[in-house]
Amino acid sequence: MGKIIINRLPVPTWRSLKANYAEVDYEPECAMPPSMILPEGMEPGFGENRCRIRTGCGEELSRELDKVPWTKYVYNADKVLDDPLRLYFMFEEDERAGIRAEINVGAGAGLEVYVIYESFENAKGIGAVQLEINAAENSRVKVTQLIDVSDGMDFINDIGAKVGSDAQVEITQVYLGGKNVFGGIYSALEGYRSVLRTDIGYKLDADRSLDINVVADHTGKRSESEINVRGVLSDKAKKVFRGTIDFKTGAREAKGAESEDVLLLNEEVVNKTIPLILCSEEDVEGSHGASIGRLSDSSVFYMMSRGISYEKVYEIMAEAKLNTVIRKTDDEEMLHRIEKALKRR
Amino acid sequence: MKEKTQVEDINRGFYDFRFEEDEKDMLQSGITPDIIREISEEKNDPQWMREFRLKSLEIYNSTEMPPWGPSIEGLDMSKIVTYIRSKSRMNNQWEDVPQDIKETFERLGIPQAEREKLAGVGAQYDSELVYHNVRREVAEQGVVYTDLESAMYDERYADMIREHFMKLVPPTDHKFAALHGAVWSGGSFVYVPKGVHVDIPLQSYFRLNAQGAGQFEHTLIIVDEGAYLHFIEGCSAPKYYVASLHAGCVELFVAKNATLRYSTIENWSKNMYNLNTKRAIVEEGGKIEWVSGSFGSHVSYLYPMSILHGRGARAEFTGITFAGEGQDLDTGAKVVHAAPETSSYMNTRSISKSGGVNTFRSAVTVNRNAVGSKSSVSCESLMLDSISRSDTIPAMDIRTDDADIGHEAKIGRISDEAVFYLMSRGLSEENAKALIVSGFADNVSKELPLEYAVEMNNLITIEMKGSIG
Repeated sequence: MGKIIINRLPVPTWRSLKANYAEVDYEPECAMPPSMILPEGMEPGFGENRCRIRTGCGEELSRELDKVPWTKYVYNADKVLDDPLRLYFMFEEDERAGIRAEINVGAGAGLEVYVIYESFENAKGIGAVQLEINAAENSRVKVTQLIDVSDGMDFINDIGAKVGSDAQVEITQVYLGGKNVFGGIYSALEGYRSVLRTDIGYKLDADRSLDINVVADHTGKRSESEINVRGVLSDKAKKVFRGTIDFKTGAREAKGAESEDVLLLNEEVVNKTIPLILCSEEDVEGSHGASIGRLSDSSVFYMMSRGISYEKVYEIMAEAKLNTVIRKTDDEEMLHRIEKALKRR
Repeated sequence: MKEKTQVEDINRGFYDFRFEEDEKDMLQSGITPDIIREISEEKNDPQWMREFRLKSLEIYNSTEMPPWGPSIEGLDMSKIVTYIRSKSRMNNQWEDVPQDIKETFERLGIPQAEREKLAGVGAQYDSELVYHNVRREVAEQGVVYTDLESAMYDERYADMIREHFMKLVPPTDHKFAALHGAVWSGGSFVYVPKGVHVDIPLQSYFRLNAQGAGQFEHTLIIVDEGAYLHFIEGCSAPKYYVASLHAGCVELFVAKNATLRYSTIENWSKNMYNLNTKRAIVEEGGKIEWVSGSFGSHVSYLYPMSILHGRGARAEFTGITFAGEGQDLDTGAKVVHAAPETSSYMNTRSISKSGGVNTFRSAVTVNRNAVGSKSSVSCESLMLDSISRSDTIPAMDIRTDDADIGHEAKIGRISDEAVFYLMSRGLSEENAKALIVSGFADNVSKELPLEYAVEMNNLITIEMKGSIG
């Protein structure tokens, strides 16, 4: 076993910041097939265990996942499906597991995907799931993920997406569980007016850590990306967010926006943010905004003047941060699972 | 048909003149222990400095090149001359400066500036200071402004220099800090005593005349409690056909409730590798204000760093970078909040054209003890064509909950709406675009003394053509 480098920043910066990449001790020993509920008319397929596109976590993870002794799950949608695809991953005690899944949404088709990552309560192993999304022209793909593995377990949530003309990929992720959790999203916005929308919410406490790398690679004209990250850190929790909007030559009239809002609740938290905008095209609009810290005195004062206790003010505001992400989904089962997971915390 | 707005390169003709060097004044190129010892001999270094230089060389040899940032493969250190003997001693009368050197600085307008608007001037030509002077009334306030080497031998300042020299930027900081420690030469020492307010600025001007050479001046400024100083640094070099190197070092010590404004207008030639290191430490209630205009160089790595060490210390960084053809300018700033209630503000603009590459790189670190600190970073980039490049790489490392950190970045081109608005008010398209580009650079020019703001605006010669058909 050895450490692999994942979530590499597309353009490195000072090494002293210790934020150019993440390291994780990962080598899969077994597969983790999901349970699933398929929409009517969809049959799961199986493919060679190879990832065909770039992903957020990067090549070293892909090379490790190539070793998983299992096929890749393939889900195809060639029309707008009314029912969602639901995938459930349950990691067992000390396993070092991995699996790949591929979602292909054909021209003009649409699919919603709900994914829940859970584990046994005392699980202490590591799991990695790599999801490949191919959104053909004029398609819609909406993926909502809940990460609720045990606090003793490490987890890698890796996504690669290829977005065609007039296609839209929406990814919503709610990170609630796990000891050391890594999330990667890479999106190739190749098509004319291709769109990526990403909303990530997290709540971290104790000495848990979350390391996120999101890359929106714009090559398509008028392509659009939006990366929103909201979360709450308490105790000795640590979070790293790397977000990159990369406007390549030819991505004329493309737009990209990143925003981050972090509420810090303890003096021992560590929050690192590296929001990159890379640009080799003149006619684009890119922006980034970040707000990091505790609540403003005026907000606290206002709420306390309405009879809310100091502790409750923070509780409400922490919930509010996550709710802006959770509200992106209206699926009852997903909302129920998120609520249940939140209550445990 | 719509024509593209044309923004001319910075007009460098003003700086592109040079006098031939006498080769016998130049040490052998490259960096070896023998060359370092020869520099120490030439400069009659005290023993501690001789040892310091050799130790720095060891660190240089064992430190790798930075694995990030623009390529510096074109810089062959074995071909760089690190020291050029001065043709004259340091003078405090322009009349005593050798004719060709004097002519250089006169053409750059330095003596005239000294007469009209400065409290003191230092002028470095290649490796050595050739002129230093400070107004009598300023000197009478106890303000020291002299070359670093003289100060090192002056018993009044020797201990102060030994105590502060390369303590903020140790040779272990990075490869080119180590190089600087080994071969540094020239530069200024400024001390402003407690409570003294220097009303008009001091200026040092650095001119690298020899081609294939390096300039490694060291600037050490100590602003004591409650004092104020505005220091201006100007840099230029004529056009060369071989790579040259600038690896200077600036160390600024801002004491309790003191304020230091450090302004730089850099216009090195486009064969220059500008690998400069600048750092300030600010004590309780003190303030450092950086104003930086980067226009020249082939490659730049330049990130002035502020360490906010005392409660309530503040830092402001205002910068503009203009990258044209053949330029890869990696600039920005770093701030470390290391005490409670500290605050920092960065406001930068960059313009890329004709294949130029601009990178804004920053780091804001808020330590655990820096409770109640605030930081705000704003960077805007303007792309004037699609063969250029502009990257924004900010980083924030926050380790306390009681901090208020904001960051915003924008990248884009000249807005059609803004042009339309101005045209609807009667401006021609050319004038509208010129006004927008000038306004974009306004954050820096408004922070400079008027004369320098005019010079900076003159540096950016904007020529518009185009029509909407």
